Amino acid sequence: MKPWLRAAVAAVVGLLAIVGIALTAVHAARSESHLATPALVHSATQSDAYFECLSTQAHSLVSAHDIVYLPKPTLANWVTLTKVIGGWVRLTLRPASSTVALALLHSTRGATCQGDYLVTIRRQSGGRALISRGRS
Amino acid sequence: MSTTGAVVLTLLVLAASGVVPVLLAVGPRLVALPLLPLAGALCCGVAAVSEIALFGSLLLWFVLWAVGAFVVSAVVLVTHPALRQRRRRQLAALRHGVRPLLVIGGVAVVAATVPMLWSLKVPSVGFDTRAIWMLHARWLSHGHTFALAAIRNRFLVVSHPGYPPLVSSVMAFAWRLTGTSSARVGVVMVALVNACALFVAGWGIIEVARRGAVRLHAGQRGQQLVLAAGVLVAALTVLVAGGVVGLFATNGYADVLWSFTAVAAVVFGLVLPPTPSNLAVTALLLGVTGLTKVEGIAVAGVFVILIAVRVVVRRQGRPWVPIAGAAAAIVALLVWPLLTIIAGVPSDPSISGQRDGSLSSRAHSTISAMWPHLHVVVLALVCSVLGGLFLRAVRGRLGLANDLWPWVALIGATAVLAGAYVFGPGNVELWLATSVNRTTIFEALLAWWIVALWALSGVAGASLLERAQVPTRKPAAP
Repeated sequence: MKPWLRAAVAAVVGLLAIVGIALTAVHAARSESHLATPALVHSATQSDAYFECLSTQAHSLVSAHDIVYLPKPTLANWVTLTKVIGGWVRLTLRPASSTVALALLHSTRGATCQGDYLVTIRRQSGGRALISRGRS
Repeated sequence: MSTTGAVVLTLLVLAASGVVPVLLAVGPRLVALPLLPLAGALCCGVAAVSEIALFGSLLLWFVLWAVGAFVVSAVVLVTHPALRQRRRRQLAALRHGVRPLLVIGGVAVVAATVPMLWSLKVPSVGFDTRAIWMLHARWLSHGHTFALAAIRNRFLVVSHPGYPPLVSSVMAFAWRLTGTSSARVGVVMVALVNACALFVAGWGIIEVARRGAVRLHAGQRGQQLVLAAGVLVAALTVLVAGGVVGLFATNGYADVLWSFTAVAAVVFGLVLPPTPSNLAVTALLLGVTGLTKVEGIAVAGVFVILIAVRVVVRRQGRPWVPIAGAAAAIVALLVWPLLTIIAGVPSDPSISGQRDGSLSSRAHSTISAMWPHLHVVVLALVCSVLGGLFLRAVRGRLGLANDLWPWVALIGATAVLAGAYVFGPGNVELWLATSVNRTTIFEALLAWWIVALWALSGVAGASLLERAQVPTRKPAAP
């Protein structure tokens, strides 16, 4: 192949690749600016506030020394409670070895975290149970 | 401490811990700068493994490993005068100045990385970030006893306790070091480590142009053209990468980090010449890849084997050196999975249990789900076919490896990931729906990098035209 033809083909391959990259880069830069819209900021802030609130409630109910049992949670509640307390307390599958049971409930009354709140049940002496609601 | 203060302090400490080992292994190259925090992050990951396996806290092990790496590097420098002299010569060469285009290239790649970080304006903490990475970080920040009990706790199986610890260890390290244990600090730290990894991958393209421009013998103008094209292509490809990863770059997910480091490892380990310095860069990148995600371990293992084969094929005599190096790397990659088995970490629900559906239906679902994220592979294939037909000689003159190496890496990684979906357990539709947009990040990025390298080869080939025309010009009449 003649040198000028080889160089022309090279230019075509280079141009094809550069145009493909450049067009996608422009599209990427545009779409990235849409990743920081006020709606997304609001949604992320709400989510942060929700977990912050539940964390405050959990700290008002449970200490780091507690062994916590979650009574039959749904998968969603299980994941949410794990996110809230799984990093600083011990969780157990056996109620007998726990010191406290913790549940995530929903209500429109009282202090809630966007409609959710935490409740603990502790065994008291004499077989009585103490039910407490989280404060946030 | 404010989030900015905490993040800057953590980044500085991570970088400082890696200065001597990185400069010793990689040499005084610009790519060493973004590698410093990555080396620190790798040190964090290794410290987390040690904390869980043995005793003590993350900070204790970080200090031990950082000091250990420093001492070993110092001993190597003292006992290897030839290496010391080589590094001294390289430093002396730096004092004569760096090409202005390379400085512009560094600035351009940094600038192209910024849009990826724009979404840090959104204080977003991803679902998995809170459920997995941040939770593991809390465990690590409580020390050996708590961390070991947590990863063995069957009740916490939904948080995938067997996932590798690097990302979580960076978060925990930032919290413990600065005393600011907010989710925001953790997420911003991961985003900045991602940015460092992207810089390394982007710089790989400029490195190709820098080396190629000299080897091409295309004259002063040709050199300038190839270098300028390298800067342009690197900046554009980094912008593209930001678009591919989207919000995952800044919401604390781990998929972006291993994808960036794996792409950079392909460039430095399978495209650029396998010099000791490039292999050191690759080793560090594969270390990060293997300690970041489970698929990262598998992909890093495939790359280690490919790099070893490439080095053995190129090397004259003593093939046992790269083979022994590869064996050591594979053993290092297997430390975390073995530890999870020995420690009795409960099986990850996504990789245990019954398989739903036939293999063919799962394969069909997997291909259908992956394809929309991998259209770029078509462009890469067209460039590779045209380039393979017409630009092989130019690629050779640029000093680049055969294009088949990155393609084998791409196919190998895709086979590993698709194989997990097809032969793995559970409902594949649900699994794909919740993960395929993240697990295909690496393949899409590598395809873009293949396109970028052909773009450079094309420009280099075109720049040879002027050179080729020189002998055909008629001498001017006297």
